[in-house]
Amino acid sequence: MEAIAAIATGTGMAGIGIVRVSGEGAIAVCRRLFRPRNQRWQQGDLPARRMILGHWCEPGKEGWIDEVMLVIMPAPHSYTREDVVEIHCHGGRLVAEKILAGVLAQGVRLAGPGEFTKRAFLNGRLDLAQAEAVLSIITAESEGCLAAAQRQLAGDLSRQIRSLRDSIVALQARLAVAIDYAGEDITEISDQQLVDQLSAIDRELAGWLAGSDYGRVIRDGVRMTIAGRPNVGKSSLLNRLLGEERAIVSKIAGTTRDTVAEWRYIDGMKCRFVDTAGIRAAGDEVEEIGVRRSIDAIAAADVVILVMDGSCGPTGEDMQIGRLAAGKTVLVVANKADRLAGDRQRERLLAEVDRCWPDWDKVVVSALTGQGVDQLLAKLSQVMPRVEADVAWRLTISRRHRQLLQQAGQAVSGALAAVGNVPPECLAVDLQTASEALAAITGDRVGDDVIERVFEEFCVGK
Amino acid sequence: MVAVGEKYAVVVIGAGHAGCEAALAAARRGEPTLCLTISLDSVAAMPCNPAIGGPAKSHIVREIDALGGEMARVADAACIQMRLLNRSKGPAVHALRAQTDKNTYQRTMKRTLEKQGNLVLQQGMVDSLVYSRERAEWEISLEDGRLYRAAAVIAACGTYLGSRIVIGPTSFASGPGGQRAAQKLTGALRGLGIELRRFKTGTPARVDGNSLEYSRMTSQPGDSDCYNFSFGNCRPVNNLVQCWLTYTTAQTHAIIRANLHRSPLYCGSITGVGPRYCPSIEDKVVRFADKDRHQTFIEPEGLDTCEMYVQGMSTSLPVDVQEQFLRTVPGLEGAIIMRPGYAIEYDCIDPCQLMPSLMHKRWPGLFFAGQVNGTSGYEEAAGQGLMAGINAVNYLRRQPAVILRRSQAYIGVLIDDLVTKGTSEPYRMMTSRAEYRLCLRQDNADSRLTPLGRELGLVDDENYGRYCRRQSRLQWLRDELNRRKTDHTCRHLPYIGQEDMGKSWAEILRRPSCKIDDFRELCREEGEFSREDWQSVESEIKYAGYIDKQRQQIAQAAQLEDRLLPEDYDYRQCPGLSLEAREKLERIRPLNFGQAGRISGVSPADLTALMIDFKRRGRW
Repeated sequence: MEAIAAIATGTGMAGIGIVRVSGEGAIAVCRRLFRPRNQRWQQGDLPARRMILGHWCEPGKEGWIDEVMLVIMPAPHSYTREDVVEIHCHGGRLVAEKILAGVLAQGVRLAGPGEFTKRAFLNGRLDLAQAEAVLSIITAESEGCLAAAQRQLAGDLSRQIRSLRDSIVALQARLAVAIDYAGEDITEISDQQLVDQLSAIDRELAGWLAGSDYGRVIRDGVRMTIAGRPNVGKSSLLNRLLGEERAIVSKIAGTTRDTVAEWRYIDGMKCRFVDTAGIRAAGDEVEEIGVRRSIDAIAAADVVILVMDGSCGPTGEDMQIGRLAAGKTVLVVANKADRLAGDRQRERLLAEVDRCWPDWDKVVVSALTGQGVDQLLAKLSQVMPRVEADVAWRLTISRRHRQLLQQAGQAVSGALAAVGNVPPECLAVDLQTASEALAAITGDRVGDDVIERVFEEFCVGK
Repeated sequence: MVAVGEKYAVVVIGAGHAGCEAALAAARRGEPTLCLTISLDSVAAMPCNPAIGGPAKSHIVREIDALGGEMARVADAACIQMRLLNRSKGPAVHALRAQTDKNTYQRTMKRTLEKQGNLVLQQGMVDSLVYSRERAEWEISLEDGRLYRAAAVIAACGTYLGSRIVIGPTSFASGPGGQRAAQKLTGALRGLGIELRRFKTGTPARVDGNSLEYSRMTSQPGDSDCYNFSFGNCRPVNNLVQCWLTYTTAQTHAIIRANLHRSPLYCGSITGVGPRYCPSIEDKVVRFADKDRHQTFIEPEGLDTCEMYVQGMSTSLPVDVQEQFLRTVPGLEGAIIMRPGYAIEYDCIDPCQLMPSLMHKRWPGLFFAGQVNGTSGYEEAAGQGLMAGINAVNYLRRQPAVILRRSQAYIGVLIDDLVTKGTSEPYRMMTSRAEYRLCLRQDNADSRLTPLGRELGLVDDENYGRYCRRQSRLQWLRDELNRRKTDHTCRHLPYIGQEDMGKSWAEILRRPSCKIDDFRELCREEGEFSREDWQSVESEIKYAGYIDKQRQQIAQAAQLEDRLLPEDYDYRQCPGLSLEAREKLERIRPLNFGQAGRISGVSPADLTALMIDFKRRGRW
């Protein structure tokens, strides 16, 4: 394919910048503009897959732009399976841009977003799931997300999906052989065997789908909702957790009228903190809307941080708000520890809180002084949803995967429910649907839908 | 130069199952047609099993009938036992299988060809084929010096090209069943630059029915409640004979194993590729060593012969070994071999050289049909013959080719597979090759194809009238089943409870336990309807949900089938195609993206690259 080039590194200030060129003539173009330091390589071919020190020149000009390291990766042993050259220059936008401009002046086209990955996909170097993983890696915002994308890139997702699909295809074959070799001496698969094998496939699909819920946590972060009565110090706590003045704090109850959301990392997990309006019988319409939103935020939370005023102990209203969070993971925070006089009062407070919410973890803090905040973070880290290391990579990263898995799951459940009631050629229809949905995840089946997706994701034609 | 030789519109080489259908179709469509056969005594011969039908094959026979072909009618006339296979499964894969009287079959088909207007049937061995570009016609030379000319030629030469029969250490040039082999035609085809390869198939011994002990075997009677192959035939089926089931023994296997060194398959004297799905008994014993017995059916070859076909025991072992192992099978202890089993090697073409019309891509007017395309089976051959006959006429008339879709007919699946994927062994049709088998049923072959057959001039007024009447009966039944509600008259049916009162019959019919015959009883006063009519409607209603799902799959696939690839598209300039895909696409030149995706060696990534190129050029 025609040669394309782009600056491969980010836009900020950095130590080095990399310009990448891929396609027909990439090596020749770079050869013209690169002067290797080593006398041996002044003429003729440059060695492949080695860092070569030299100077990058401007076409038709004396002197050089920068001292660079050049790597030549001839096809097919490169990211795109084409001839690829990478020019490692000094950081800063200007140098890289001048080098790129020189390359483009040689008739090389500027690459569109994701175009190198698109070529890797088109040239069969990556399958669709892997290509999607590259995009996820680039945009990864948490360690879990990155890990999952890396496993997907390594082909783990594709391998697992293919093996799942293989077991469906094997079942299809068992059904087909009994139909096509009627009257021959063939042991047909029994209904019980069918049920057993379909159930196993169904369970596995369900596992993937359940995993995709964790996937949401990893992708979008853990949703932590800070809830409580007005004026118990929810916004102060948020500011303390974020280490900045994010929410407006005042002594006036009901200052926070709407939910405020901000995120930070706790132990490598992205956490999204939602500060809510204090819940009480609303004073006006605006506040009422805020209260309703608070209730919604509790419902949507992965973890509810129930804040109460430690200086006055649990109240009936606190108990009511607690009931809104029933069934959730809740951490009770007794705030305003700075107003507690001594350990005995603290002990008594904890005992009271324990009596009210025996099942929930609790911690005493002062948002004002920062006392107990480390303990709070440690507790949050304990209670927030964690994904086991060995299932973390199973997270289905994209919505497309989730939809296709759902489709496959529905088809397999349909077949499972129909065993014994419909003849095998009908079960085969469901199995076909399931197997095609899985094939679409890995790109082993190409339909309009997959193609549209590719066009969308890889900005084809731009 | 003055043209010599008598001129026909179409010349068909061969009068086997493909040749007969091809010749009849061309002649019925009004084109002067000549059908040449090596021997007039072997028109529509069945050199292997004396049976027509079976899963997917019977579907093809019904489709041939629906399109106005002949095979179903002849098979009905020659039928001496009919069975319905796959009864325990759904109606979509029910399959008729007829034991036929081979002589009756041949006689009936030959008589049909003789009576057909526009058609001349002659004995003659074709030696060469020469194309004259200036006159756009073919010269067909026979070994006896006769010369014919035709704008279209259909090569339906079966397994006769350079064929050789092998029995143990003995081998000789011969067509199937002792017919002469066509020795020179292979060379003529090679001279045209047509690629050939060598396949192999085989047949078991025929034993003397008087030498068998039937009490030691299990009898296999026909099914009395069967229907016929032909939609137009409502007479009761002929069930005149029984078949017999028996099994090989440990002794049989021991004898075969001890003599493997004398098998041409294992000592290397056969090089052709045989079919995996129809292995010889020596193959079965070697490949499935853990199986302690293999079943075999003893099938009569006809009413006026005592020759019996030993199904499942195809072999090319020396005759003394054949006799030895057959006699270890219960019931065959005293078996006398009348004809030994043999293997046959023959030349056939790589069907990827053909267009979906079955015309050669580089030779205008040269069509290929049947086993010469690398298929096996009478039914597969006949289906191709019919389509080649139809398309030869369309070629003469400069009309677009008739191409059956995969979602329309098994014949469509067959031809698409052949010209798209090719085949590395003799190709047999199976229901699992059809992705839309719920829609491709035996019972709806007529609604799928008869209107097309009529349009092509192959379905006469009588048969078309019958088709229309059946369609309106089916519609009436559909309406009635939806309209009629359950009431006290249905009370006796075990699956109808009080809560079902007032529900439509169609709704009740969807239940697995419900049988249409119960409603047929209730509808007795209406008369007129055949069991087949009821069953057609039953399968539609019972599997409506699944049929809908399949229709969705068809619609989804159609997105790719409807995207045409222009004939002049240059695959070499498409970026991102793998070398293998580029070469295959250039060679096969698929009609659309769907077909392109089915070519082995064209990966999804290749297909994507192709689509992106189209999108980039604004042709998507």
